Amino acid sequence: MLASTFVALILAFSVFIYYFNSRYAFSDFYKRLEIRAFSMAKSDLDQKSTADLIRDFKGEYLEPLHEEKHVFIELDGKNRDFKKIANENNLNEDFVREIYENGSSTYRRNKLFFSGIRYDVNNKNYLVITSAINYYYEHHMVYMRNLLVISISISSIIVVLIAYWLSKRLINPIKVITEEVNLIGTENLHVRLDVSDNEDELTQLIRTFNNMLDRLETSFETQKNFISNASHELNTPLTSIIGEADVALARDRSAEEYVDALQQILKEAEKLDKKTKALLYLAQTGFNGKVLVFDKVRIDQLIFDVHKTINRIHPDNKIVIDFSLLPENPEMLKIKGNEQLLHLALSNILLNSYKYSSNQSVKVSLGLSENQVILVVTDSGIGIPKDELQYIYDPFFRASNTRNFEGYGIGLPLTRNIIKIHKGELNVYSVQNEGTIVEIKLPVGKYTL
Amino acid sequence: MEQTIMILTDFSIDSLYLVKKALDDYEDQSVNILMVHGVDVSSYPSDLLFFSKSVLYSKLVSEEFKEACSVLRNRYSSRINSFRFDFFTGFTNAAFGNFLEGNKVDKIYVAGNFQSRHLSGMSADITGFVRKCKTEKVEVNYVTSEEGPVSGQLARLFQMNA
Repeated sequence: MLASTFVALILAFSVFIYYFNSRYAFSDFYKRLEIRAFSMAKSDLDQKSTADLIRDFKGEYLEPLHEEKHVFIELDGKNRDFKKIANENNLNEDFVREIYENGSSTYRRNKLFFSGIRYDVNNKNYLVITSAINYYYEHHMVYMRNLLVISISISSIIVVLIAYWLSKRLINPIKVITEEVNLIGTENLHVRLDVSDNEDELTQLIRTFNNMLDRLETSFETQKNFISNASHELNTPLTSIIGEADVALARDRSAEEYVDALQQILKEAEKLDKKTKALLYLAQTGFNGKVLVFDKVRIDQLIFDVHKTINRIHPDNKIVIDFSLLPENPEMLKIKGNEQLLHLALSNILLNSYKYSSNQSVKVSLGLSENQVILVVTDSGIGIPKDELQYIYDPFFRASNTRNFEGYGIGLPLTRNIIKIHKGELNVYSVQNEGTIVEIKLPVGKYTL
Repeated sequence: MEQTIMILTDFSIDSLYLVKKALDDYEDQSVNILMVHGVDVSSYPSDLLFFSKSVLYSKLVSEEFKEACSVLRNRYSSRINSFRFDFFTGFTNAAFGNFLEGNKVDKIYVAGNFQSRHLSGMSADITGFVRKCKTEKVEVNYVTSEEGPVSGQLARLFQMNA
């Protein structure tokens, strides 16, 4: 489509040039012939003095044309038979008549060009006719025609090639994206499309895809996490209840033994009840398929909330909140985010720090730069082996030194996805057996006060 | 009275501890912070001709460092009157004296164990000039962590204990 448009344009252009150039060549040549006719008339028919002058002029300034010929025809009163004149001089009758009637005329027979004028001198009428071959038209125009034909064909080839290359360039990345997206399924949701460096529309499309995958993966992992957690947590007290009941029913027992067993069962049932309530709470706070609502979140308030939650679960924790770098204007600590998700992310990080540092002190610091809220969690726990740092965001990956700790390998990927949803950055620095530092950067909400 | 404090820096996050220290010392005063790094400009005409502080600044100063400075500025926003960077390019004590006078420096904070990282071929150690000048100076010792997990990272700022 594009190619044919280009070719048509070039073709029209060439035809235009050719037509006007040839027209110019004709009229130009006629003019030249006419000048010659005039000068010949002057030189041969006029008084001597001027004639000499013009002959000199002609010899000096006008180069002889190819097969240049001059014919002088005297017309007297009786001799008006143009047909005869034409035949005698091998000319066209209409041409001769036109010269006589109009004073001048031009005419072409194949390569031979004629130009004639009527010249009146000493009460006599003369027809002066000059003829020559238009060398310029003969050779140069053919050359130009060939040139144009060749250039048109070459340029069409180039245009076709460019069009082909362009379409390839435009369509290929889309093809690649389609293939890559097709490869991503529920089992490898953590795979992302490669983002190229140039900021074009395709890169934006890839980013959008990746963001969508982030959201998908987060909700998937939350579901998985939730189900495995829930089933495990519910199963333990149930097993105890069943075991206790089995043992009690195995044979006849005394009243005290039954009371003991029933009390044990009651205790476990209460635990189960507490857990189901907690799960219910989790389901209510967690995102349940609804659209994410992003709202103002005060990050310092969030830290306190998370701290309170952790205090409830592990009252023995040694989490220290360090606000020494808190900005003087705390109003700036507002970010745009979903409080439940951020709560989940931060509590994940803090619980990890608590868990893997065997309850040594954990420091949470908060700072604010021009565009970012920076949250740093420092612990002095078991750390992460250096060569395993690159895998920590893979779901279900657990570092080799975490065998003695319970976990599913879901917290960190989930947290990273939550941070990503908030357009933030999560960095983990660690030295094995020394500690881990988690740095979270979130863009400032820029709420006007 | 506004105080101008000059702080020697190698543009490492560690060196910002001096800023923190200085600001904690001047508790209720507004201060002008001037971060200075020594550079050795060669006397080749071409080097002198193309020497530009802004180019050098963008070459030497990392994004992390700028961000860390921004955190500090937010933390002490009411007390930091100005916060700027400069390079000292002189070779003599007199030139350094002029530099101090021109910038109206009241106090210099320098690390007792200051080991300036040679960031580029141009970095120069100017602690010698500092020791010899007559301006009041404060030596602060701090632990640099070249090998720690967050060396050179923004998180390092939060590790410092004032």
